[in-house]
Amino acid sequence: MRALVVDDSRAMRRIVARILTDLGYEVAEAGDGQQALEVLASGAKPDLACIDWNMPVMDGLTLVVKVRENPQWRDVTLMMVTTESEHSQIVRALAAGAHEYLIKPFTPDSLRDKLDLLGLLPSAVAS
Amino acid sequence: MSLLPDTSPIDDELVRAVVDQVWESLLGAEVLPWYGEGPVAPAVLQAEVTLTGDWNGLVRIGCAQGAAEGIAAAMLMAGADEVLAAEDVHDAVGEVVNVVGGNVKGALLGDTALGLPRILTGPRTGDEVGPATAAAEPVSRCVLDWHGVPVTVEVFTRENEKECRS
Repeated sequence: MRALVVDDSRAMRRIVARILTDLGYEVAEAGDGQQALEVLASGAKPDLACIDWNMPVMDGLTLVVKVRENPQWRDVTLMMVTTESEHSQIVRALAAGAHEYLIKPFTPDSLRDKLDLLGLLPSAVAS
Repeated sequence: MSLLPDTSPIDDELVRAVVDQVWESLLGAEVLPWYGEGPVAPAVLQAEVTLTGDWNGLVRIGCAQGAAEGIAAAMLMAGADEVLAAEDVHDAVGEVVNVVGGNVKGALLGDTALGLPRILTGPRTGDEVGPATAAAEPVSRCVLDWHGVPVTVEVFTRENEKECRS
């Protein structure tokens, strides 16, 4: 399975990528929403995109909207991974087309649990 | 007297609870209070993130370079012989203050936006604050022990500045 990790923090990309790699994902990274669109446009369509909210150039909510506008990317599962913890923000993200929402800070187990809920745990590690 | 609800529930207890969670989840570390003697030495590295909207202020983490490197190494689970680049250290500490700031924001009522983290380097004293803290007043200050070195987590408000403008 493939994942795209979108976060302006290299440290956070590394953390999320490590967890996903350990679960069996092949991981690509992008530093903002615009870079993520370029990765997607290159044809490397992921099964999952983990998207930070607050990023320069293009924020995560805008990215979610743009991905949802493109029918080619309809089957990409979008999960916000962000410090935005207010209920109103969660509602905005889900209304825009995100499938799941993980609030920072998180543990590897909480990310794994979200993937389990989404049916996106690679079969080798699914419980 | 304002008829608006109190949108500033930020105090040391709240900030400490946020820091506890961030340290445990992000750094795999327990938060220990600083019991060192004498004044805390000026921080060489400061990471700040602003909050703007119904509540205005910022969250700042300050520490020595060595502590910043230790925090980054813990966050990245770097190997003992792995030397992190300065930009990776800054990025990691910036993300820590971003997560602390986001969770502080989550405790506020109203509509407040979180800015992007920025890093200031070079010796500073507690009174010598960057532009982001101009006219700001401290509402919380925690000093933590990171392997024998102090790390400060501070929250400032600019609510008075806002009132003066309005």
